[in-house]
Amino acid sequence: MDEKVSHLVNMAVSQINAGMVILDADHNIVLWNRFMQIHSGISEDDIKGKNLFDRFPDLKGSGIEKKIDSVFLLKNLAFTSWEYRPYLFKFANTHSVIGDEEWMQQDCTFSPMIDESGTVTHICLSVFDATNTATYQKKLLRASGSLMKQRNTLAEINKKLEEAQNQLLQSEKMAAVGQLAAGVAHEINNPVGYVNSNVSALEGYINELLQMLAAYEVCEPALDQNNALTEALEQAKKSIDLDYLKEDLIDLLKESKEGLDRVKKIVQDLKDFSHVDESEWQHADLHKGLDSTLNVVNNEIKYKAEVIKNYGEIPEIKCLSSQINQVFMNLLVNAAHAIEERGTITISTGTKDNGVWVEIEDTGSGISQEKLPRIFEPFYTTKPVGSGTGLGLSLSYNIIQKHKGIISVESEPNKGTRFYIWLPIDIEFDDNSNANVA
Amino acid sequence: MIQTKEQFDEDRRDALQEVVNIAMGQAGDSLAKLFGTFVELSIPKFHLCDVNELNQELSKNSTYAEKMTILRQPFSGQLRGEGIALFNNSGVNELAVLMGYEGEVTYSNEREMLLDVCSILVGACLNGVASQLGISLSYTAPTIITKDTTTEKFFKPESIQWRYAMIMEVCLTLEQYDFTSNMLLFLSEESFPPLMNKLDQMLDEL
Amino acid sequence: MIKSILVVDDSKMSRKLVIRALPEEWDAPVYQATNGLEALEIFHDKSPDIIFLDLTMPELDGFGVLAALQKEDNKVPVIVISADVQTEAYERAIGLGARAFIQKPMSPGDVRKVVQELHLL
Repeated sequence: MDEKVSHLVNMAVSQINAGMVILDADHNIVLWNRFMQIHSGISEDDIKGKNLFDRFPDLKGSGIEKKIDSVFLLKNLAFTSWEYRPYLFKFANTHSVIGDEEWMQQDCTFSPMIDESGTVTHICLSVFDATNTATYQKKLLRASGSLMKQRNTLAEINKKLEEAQNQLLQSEKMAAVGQLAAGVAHEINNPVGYVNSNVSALEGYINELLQMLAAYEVCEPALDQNNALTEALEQAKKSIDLDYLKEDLIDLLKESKEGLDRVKKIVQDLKDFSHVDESEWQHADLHKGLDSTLNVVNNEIKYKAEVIKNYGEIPEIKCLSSQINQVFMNLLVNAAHAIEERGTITISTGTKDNGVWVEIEDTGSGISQEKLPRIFEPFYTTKPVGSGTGLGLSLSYNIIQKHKGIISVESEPNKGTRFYIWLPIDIEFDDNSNANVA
Repeated sequence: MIQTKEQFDEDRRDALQEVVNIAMGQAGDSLAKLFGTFVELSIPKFHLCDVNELNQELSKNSTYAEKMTILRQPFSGQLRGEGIALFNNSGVNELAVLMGYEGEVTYSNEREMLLDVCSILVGACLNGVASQLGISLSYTAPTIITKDTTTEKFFKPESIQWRYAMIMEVCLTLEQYDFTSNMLLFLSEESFPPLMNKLDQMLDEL
Repeated sequence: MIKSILVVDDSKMSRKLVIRALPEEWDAPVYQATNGLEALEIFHDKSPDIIFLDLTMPELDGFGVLAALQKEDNKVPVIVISADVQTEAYERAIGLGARAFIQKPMSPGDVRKVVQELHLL
């Protein structure tokens, strides 16, 4: 290489916009170019001949010695990347005006310097400023992180939509079951009707027959005591145990009538509850609604709670009674579910401000203060996954809203929960057609 | 592919195997000196394979069914390709001591250490080959491609750019340290002609 | 006086390299074997005066050949030529009676230098 080129190479090494350090086999610094001088603030004269690890003790024990050994032994390259080791030399950030990094991020390479005989005599360490790349990379990472977050949120929403769809399907199914129940109730009503009237007639006839029998019995002493007919009569009386028969006949009739009454009541409750024939606003007695709902959900409640009714004097109110019953059902079922072992559900009613109020209070596990404000939100559920849909209370809320009423809740964990509903006696609509849309 | 398979005849295969064996012998010696412990290197195996047969080829070795950390280091020059180092995630703490990392092994220095080992393995193996063939290679900094995956998930034919390549497979074991690494060197298609030339030169000299 | 030579290596190229490096003075037939079992067979058949032996081979490796010869108390000079250049391999080979150890890749003058040192020339 002629002198001129050699001079140019020296200038290039000195002025290249990257750090260049040459180390000998003892890790002593042989060359320290201008980039290194400027960023470190150490002149080449100050550092030449000094041991790298003496001048930069932080590098000790961090794997750098082995990297250098491997370059000497294996003639391979060794690297550091800002990603795992932000810097080799602690230099101030080059992007000092705008930028997040405090220190210059560096990518470094250790290359072997091999002489003619194939021996590694020195190591050339190059230091590249990777601050810009690092900044962008970190921004990208943050961006992709937030994208990932958004994606997860969307996935969650999707899942909720799916649940909502299932819920809608479920409620349609429930509506169909309700219709069916009402239909069956209607069908049962007719036979029950004539069985009922027949039993009433039967009761009359039997009473008359019994009277007739009594009249005969009065005549009995007049018969000839030794007559064979009299004996046969006594025999017949004995064999059918007439006294017992007379008593039992009355009981049987009474029980049958009671049974019929129960059938009638259940049928009526089913009809009241589903109100298939009442899709319009009508005056209804809320006590009737509460009682029929209690009968319908009796299975859910009876093993969990004793129901205490504190009914006050309340007038009929104008409402969509099937929907109001739906609200009662939700609240009663929730109350039963909130009770772990056994407790009480207290239902109170009364009047206030041209309206009627209903309180349903349980002695269940209660709802924490953090969760309480959210319970009317759609899909919010405190029940274990799978057992609550998270729609019941939000539906209830919507129904009460539609009735221009109020629904509120008070709760204390481990004490219980109290729902309060107030409904106006005579709802006034701004637009009647609108209100009929259920 | 057929042409290449024919080109890679018995003499050339024998010569390349010998070159690589010698290179691995030297690598083993250097690594033993570097780590100060006995290093066991398996006899390198060659596969000349189509990208679609790659997983089938690799599945012959049960190690690749395990989840591994996979690193890559590209090399260029007359031979081009990538070295892929596969670590089975054990023996990392012992390796840290071996590689001169003091104190607790953090995420970052574990990563850097694996990169170091990848670079050392790829360099050790290839430098020996290159010096025997009289060529010089340049290396790009290694990167971690993936953590905890199996090779089958990693080498998807549609994501690999070449149609066929020569794969050299070596296994390095540091018995005392319970450390094993498998290395796959992929030589790209365009590296065949120069490689065959160099082998022919060696054979001609005999 | 060397009257016949045995070169053992699984690599054809390697065997050729060894044969090419043999001293010109030895105008003797060269037998070749590609693994340890073959080597022992040829050895017993032809009784060569010197063996050049690779270590890493299929069937029976170089250590196996050395061990067999040692067991027979055979003093034929064996020169190991191996790519396994870690100290462990060297020590084991010498321990099994190898007279010299040449590292692969061989330099052109290696064989001549070693046989001279062993006064076989």
